[in-house]
Order: sequence, then C-alpha cells, then structure tokens
Amino acid sequence: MDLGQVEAAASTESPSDGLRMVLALHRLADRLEDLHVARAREQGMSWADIAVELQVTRQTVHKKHSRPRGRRRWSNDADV
Amino acid sequence: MLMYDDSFVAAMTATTYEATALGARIYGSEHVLLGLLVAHDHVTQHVVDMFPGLTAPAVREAVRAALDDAPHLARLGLTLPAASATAPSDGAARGTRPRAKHTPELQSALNQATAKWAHLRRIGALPKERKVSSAVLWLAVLEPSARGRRLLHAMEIDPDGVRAGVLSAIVPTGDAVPTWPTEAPVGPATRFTHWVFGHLNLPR
Repeated sequence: MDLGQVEAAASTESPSDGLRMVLALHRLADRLEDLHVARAREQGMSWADIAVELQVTRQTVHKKHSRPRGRRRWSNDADV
Repeated sequence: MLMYDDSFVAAMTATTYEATALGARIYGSEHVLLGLLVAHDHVTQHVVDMFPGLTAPAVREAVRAALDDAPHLARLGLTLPAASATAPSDGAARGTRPRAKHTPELQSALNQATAKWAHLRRIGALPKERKVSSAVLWLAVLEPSARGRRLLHAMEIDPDGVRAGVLSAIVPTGDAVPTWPTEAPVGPATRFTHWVFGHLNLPR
C-alpha cells in the first residue's frame, strides 16, 4: 500500500475516525519500538547505536527503555 | 479517616500489577478493568454471573491484541497476528511495586463517573456509604470516553448491560435500579463560575 492510498483511506473518514486511527497507529508504533529496542539490546547494540537508528538522543532512548517492563521486570538478569 | 474501602484498594493494587505485567508504562482504564476482574469482589461476582465471557484472561488477551484498534488498523490494510508485539506474561508475578501513574483517559472517565455517581447519591437513588468502593471503578471503566468500554465493544459484550449489572449490585435488594445519566449534572457553583468567565471576555 503506498502513501496515496493511505491518504485516501484516511481522508474519506470523519475527523473522529481519523483521530482514532492515529491513536491506533501510535499504540502500534510504541509496541513495535519496545519490541525492537529489546531485541537490539539482546543482540548487543549500544544505546547510542539504537538512538542513531531511532533519530533521538541516546539519553531519550535510555530513559524510555532502560527500566525493564513486563515479564523481564521480575527476572534476575534484567538489564537495568 | 480512610476514603476507600478494601474492595477499592484490592482492585487498584491488582490494576498496577496487571499494568506492569502487560508492559505498560502507566495504567489506563483497560488495566483497571483487569484489576477489577482479578480482585473479584462481590460487585464483580454479580457482573461475571451475568456475563460469563467477561474473564480476566479474555480481557488480557484483548488488551494484548489491541482488539479495539484492530478495525482502525484494518482500514489502512494492517492486520496484526494476535500477541505479536509483546511477550506473553501471566500477570501472576509479584515482586517490586509497579509505578503508580495513570492515563488522561482514565482521569477524565473517573471525573465523569464520580460526578454522575455523586449526583445519584445526592438524590437518594444510590446508598450513601461512607467509603468509596470498587463499584465507582466499574462505572468509570464503562464511561463513553474510557478505553475499557471500547475493549468491551470489541469483545462483543454490551457495556450498558454491564453497567446495569453494577448498579443493581450496589442498590439494596428490592430497590429500583436508577438510570445512569448521560451528562454529569452541573451544580450552582460551577454554573456561576461559567457565567462569570463567560462575561469577563478574558484572553485564552
């Protein structure tokens, strides 16, 4: 699906449906970010490397992802 | 003086653990719904008897698969396999205290629900108890702005039916179940404040 089709799908909707779609995409993007940052850390990428890929500062990515959440939070080998 | 009774405290404790187990940064109304189902007090018992499909594992699965977001993502051509983006968690792990912070949608839902609940309490339709119980959390989760209500819609459970069950659980047996107001009634102080600010013509 190219960007034109995405815009067409978005522009035909009412504003509330469009905003609801944006929220769904935000939540999806957050979940994917959690998943891929955790995977990158497991494979030994540094916070600085992850920050370069995400185009944010390394402080931002470390602050957001250094504290383990979910199941890893209670494991002994969690990377704090 | 304690404001909250044991059922409220148990539900909120379960909420923070559920939110942490699901990997959320802060908890929202969907986690409160899970906490209520896990704590399983008498109001929840009453509701679950009416809706057998409303169980903690089912709601956990709905949150994990983002069932309420699925139709909106489908319009963009995205279909998610269930539980793809987060690791499975059982929610039973108990350890450090999770972070106590909530989402704005939960705050606005709680504001709306407590205003309507206080109105019904004031006119005598609901019993005047000294402490706030978990029924208020149920009513907040079922507010139109809450994510919990959207999840219930996506799970094909009628939120208004659930609310009727909650209200019938908190009124004394034999009394009529009150109708839930759609708008929070506004008192004289708020009306006066709005009137004053309406006439002041302040820059916003």
